[in-house]
Amino acid sequence: MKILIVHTMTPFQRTETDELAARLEKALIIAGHESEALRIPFQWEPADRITSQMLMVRAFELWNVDHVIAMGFPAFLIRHPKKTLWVLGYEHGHDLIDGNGVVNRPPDGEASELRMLIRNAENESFRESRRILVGAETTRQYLLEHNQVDAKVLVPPAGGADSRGDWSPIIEVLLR
Amino acid sequence: MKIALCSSFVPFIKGGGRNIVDWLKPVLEEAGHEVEIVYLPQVDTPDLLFQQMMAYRWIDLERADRIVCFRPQAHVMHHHHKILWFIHHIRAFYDLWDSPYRGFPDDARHRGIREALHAADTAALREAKAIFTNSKVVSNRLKTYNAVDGEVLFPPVFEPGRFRCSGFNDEIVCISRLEHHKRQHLLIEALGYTKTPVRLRLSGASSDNAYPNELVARAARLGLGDRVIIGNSWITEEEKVEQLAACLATAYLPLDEDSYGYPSVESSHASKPILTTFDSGGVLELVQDGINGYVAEPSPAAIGEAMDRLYTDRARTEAMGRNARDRLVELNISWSHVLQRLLA
Repeated sequence: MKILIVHTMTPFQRTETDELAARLEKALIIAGHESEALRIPFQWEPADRITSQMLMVRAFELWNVDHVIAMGFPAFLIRHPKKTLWVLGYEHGHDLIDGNGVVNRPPDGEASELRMLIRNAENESFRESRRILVGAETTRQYLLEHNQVDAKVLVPPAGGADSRGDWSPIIEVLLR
Repeated sequence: MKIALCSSFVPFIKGGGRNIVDWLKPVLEEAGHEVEIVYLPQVDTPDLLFQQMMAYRWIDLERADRIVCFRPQAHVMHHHHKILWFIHHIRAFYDLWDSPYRGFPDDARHRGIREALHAADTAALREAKAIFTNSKVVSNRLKTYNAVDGEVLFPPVFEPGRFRCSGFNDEIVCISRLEHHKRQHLLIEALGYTKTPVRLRLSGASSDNAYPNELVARAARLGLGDRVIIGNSWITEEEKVEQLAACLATAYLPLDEDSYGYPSVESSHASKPILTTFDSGGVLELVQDGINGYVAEPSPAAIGEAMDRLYTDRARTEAMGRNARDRLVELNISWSHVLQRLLA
């Protein structure tokens, strides 16, 4: 099966998501699939560019892909008939918009509009996904409270991708 | 400097369009730059072109000091310092409009899309600080259709220093994907016309088995026996180096390609002459008949005759091999030249 991992990346920075996506890609190949990553540039700052970057993801067309595993906002807005979300550490971005973070606080009126716009896009994406998985209990509670979505916790395995034992139950859940 | 290399891709399909990007990255890093590769999806369906163009337009890469854009529609990306290394248009709306490859009707709707695409492409091209192309063919198209100039910057191959010449055996090798438009069938037919014991080796994978099977059947029909080896799989880079080091010459005769093709450049690095045909397109920017290879008529008889000449006139074959290497210098096909131009 051709499995595309779609995740968000910060240009010129190597993040934990990059590392995890690389390990997942390798594990999927070891498990006999074809896999590669689509890394979508995204930044939370400045806030006034968030919406156009959301539209950007929504406007991409995928072809020659059997299954998408999407990690992180706004990568999981990508359109595909067979899409599984694996959302990791997501609440952080919202903290920024809510003004709890140190940067990127938009003007008050705009913040609530932006939050609503993101929430609506998230909910649409959640509805069109086959499964919604999260990396931690805190993320699960966050989505339950803000999006009324009861996700399932799927903790990424520690260690290298070479270990088939570590990854096979994870892959089984991701592709179910 | 922070440099983003931006191109489009179709997931799970590899090809020359990715090589130019992937091979440039380590060269820039070695020169001390921070490099990020950004591949984004693109499908050429007419009705979806402008929606995808918007997506490319919205990408925020302001963190980069400059971006280098390759395959469409990466060229429409917005950046304060955009360099284009333009490798082709969306050809169905350009040079392939009047060809069987267009794939949609010549009607008012598609003519409208064509007109809008040409206008958008031209506007995006004009935003660039510099425009380079991979061949004269592509530069000519930019001039014809968009009225912009593009400097030819021939793409070098990966780690050219590993290629070498260890001698000249009896084998003409063709290292390329086994696809109908690469015309390996012409080489097999040509072998049937040869009068010398010259041999042929085809190395490369195919997108399906139909064409390789046809090649095997054709070779059997002609009774070529062990004079032809058809390897329907990717060879390793080490195997490629060895095959090129030992062979008599290489053959590369695709039908009207845009650029000179990596196989002919790799052959030149190994000091081996190239056998091609006068309808092969960009290959003719590299190969000069009787100097660094043979440019034959695209018929089995003529190609077979050239194969015999490579086999019998060894002194000339070896001299043409040396010329092939010199030709790379003449055309400035090197990574140092690429860096000098892209970073100017």
